[in-house]
Amino acid sequence: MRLPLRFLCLILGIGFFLTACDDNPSVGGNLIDEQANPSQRYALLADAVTRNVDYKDVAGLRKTILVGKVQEVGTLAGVTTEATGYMDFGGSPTIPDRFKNGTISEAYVKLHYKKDAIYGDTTQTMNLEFREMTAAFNVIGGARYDSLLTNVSTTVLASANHRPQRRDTVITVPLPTTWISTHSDKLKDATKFSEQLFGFALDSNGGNAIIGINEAVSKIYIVGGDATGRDTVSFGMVAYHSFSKQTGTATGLGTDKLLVQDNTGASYNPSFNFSFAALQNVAVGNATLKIFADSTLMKSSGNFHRTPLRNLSLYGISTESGATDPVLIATTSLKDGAYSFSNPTFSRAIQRNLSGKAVFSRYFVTPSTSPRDAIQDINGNSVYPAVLYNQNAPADKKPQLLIIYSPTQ
Amino acid sequence: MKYLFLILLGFSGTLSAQIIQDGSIYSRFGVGDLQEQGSLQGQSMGHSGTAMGSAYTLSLGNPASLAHQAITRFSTGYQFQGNILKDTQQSSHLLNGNLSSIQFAFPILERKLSVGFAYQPFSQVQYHVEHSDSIRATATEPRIDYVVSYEGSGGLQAFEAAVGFKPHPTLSLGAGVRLYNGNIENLQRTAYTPSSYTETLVTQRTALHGVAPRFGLLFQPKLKQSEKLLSLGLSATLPATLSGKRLRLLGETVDADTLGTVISADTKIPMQLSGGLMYRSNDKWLFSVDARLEEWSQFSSEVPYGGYTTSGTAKLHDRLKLGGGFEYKPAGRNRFAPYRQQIAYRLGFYTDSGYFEPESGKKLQTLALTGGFGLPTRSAVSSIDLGFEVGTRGNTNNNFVLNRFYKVHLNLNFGERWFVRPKLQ
Repeated sequence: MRLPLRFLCLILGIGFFLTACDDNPSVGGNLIDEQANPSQRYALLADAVTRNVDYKDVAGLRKTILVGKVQEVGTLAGVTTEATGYMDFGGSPTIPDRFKNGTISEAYVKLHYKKDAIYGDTTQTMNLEFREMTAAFNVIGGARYDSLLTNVSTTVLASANHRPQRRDTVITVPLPTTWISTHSDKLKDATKFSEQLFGFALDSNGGNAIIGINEAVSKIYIVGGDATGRDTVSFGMVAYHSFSKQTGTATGLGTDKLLVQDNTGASYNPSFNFSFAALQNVAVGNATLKIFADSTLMKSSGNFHRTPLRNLSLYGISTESGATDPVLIATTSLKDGAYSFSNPTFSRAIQRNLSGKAVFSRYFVTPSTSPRDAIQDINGNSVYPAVLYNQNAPADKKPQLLIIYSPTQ
Repeated sequence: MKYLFLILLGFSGTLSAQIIQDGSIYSRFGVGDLQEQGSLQGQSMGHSGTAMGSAYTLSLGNPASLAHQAITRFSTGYQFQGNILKDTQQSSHLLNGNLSSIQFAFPILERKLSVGFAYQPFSQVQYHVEHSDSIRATATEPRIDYVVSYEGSGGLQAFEAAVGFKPHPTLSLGAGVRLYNGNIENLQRTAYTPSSYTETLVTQRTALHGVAPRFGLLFQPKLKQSEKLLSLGLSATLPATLSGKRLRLLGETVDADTLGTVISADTKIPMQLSGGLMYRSNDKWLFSVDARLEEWSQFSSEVPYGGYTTSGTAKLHDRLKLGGGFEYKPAGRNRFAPYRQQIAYRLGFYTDSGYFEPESGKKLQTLALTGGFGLPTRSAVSSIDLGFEVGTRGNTNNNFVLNRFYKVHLNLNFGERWFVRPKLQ
């Protein structure tokens, strides 16, 4: 009696083959009834919004050096922002022998800025003042926007009047002959130049604007030589920093808007009721934090030039004790009159808030630059403003947490 | 046989790991699709077999049948099922397969007292239905498409231990315990089209366990003609109150968060009664009929199930299953006959009222044709059973689904003399 092994194998083979087949199931949806939970949406409005000045923007490594002072006009009047730039030059340019052995006849600094790197009144003349740095400053690792460097000579070394232009502009500032003769040996030797000269602090005395110097192309030029001819040697920037400070309040904003300006430490802090009953035990598919802006107040007004703050970043804070640093969650751009933050990280974080297992105890929004990583800088240093509606705004402008979710019961 | 036993255990593990999740949407009702508990021989004869008891087959469907065991027997089976689901607009073809049973029994007193153990699914939940929809994040923004998948898996497993005793040549009695254990998972997965959205996965998991006593009886009166056999069987599984916990989980299994609180809730599985009659006219012909009554109207739980609410607005109903069939073995007991004549050919039919109502007052009738082969092997005490089943359940009225199904069963039966001292040395 033989076992029909081949037959058995055939049956088994067919069975396994068939179990590997499948078909897209779509029949029977009517029988799901009480289990069916189609997605729903809910707009959770912010309970409150506070404007804190605790965000420590790292401006030191950012690629625009802010200089000037501006008093806001119009609705934002009452707010004054001032900035001091610091720059040091160095490098190893090729220095001809006749330059090295000759006489320095001239030295000047060329400062470049782009057309959008101006904030303020374009009709008033700025008086740019250079002061010599008396010690090296090192911004490697970053320095905060509110770090005022102290090793600065009190004497104005050089100055230049300049009326801000809304175009790509170069400002040439001659350095005095006394300074040239004092540092003549250093100006002719790249090593001594880098090691014994420490750069300049740059302020503006007068005018009503802040300009952003482009560090990449701004240089110091030194002209020297002998009877056989003259050469020009240039040194680029090797260190730079911007200090900025804001004072006063924009009383014209009323109670329904807040001003958040880049490089001022201002942050927008919305709070939500995560215990809201309708949102308990839901599965969050998407969470979007939508903050409406009054973009008309962020734009130019007459001769006062403004550029709206393009990007804002959303951060989460784990503990109020400050034991943990803010965590960058999302960065977004102004679009259709609002900043909308939404990505899977934020959705998961809100899910945890609603489940009572919060990763972040609160959230805040600032101009987009990571507190730690200057590479994430998008605009470069600026004092661009964002005027954001708070909880007192009309219903359609209130900050809201828009949640798309699946109910679970 | 010992080596084969081990190989088959491994084989069974492989099979159970290959469970495919796509089954009938009706398995989401109650505790799932109820599985046939008897031998494949009885299943092939219209799901009958309560009155079957012989030294050559193993079934814990009626614990009294264990009393007939003469040798140690092991049996394992695999079931493959196809479901063709059809509503008024579309149809779908879904497949699944799973381990159907593992049974083991050995005699303590040959043909008088035996002990048996079995593991087999009591119910299975296997479904997967998708629903597409869209939603607007805000009134002014474009609609966001999403697909919700409702998936069910798991079910109740039955671990059984039973003893069969034959106090009189015409009477066998059996008793045992059935340990119910298992998880029923109803999963809702929502996938949104935008990549910035997060796929959500919410699982409702109901864990149940409990014990039910079982009893069985086989009465085989002595007939004048020795080749004939009449057998009357009765089997009862008493109600069991299963301790349960229900929780909802958010996310994948590894990092799932519990939503809300864990609910402790008892679930009462009702009494299941079956009675059968078997008649063997000679070595070639065997007839069997069964009736099964399960009091699912007595089902109760502190948490809702598909088709059952705690408020009483939806209830399960009693299940009545009637079936019968016959087996024809051309060669009878002649092991020298050509192989084809030694094969047992089986055919049967059953009807099942089901135990749930997708909509109140709307029952689902199951009608099925069964068949199979009992394939002998070189060993007189081992065999291979193949079973087939085609049937329909429900209809397309009332937004229901017509479920046409087909099943293929494979059962391997082995026997060997263990523990029993040979009478001749």
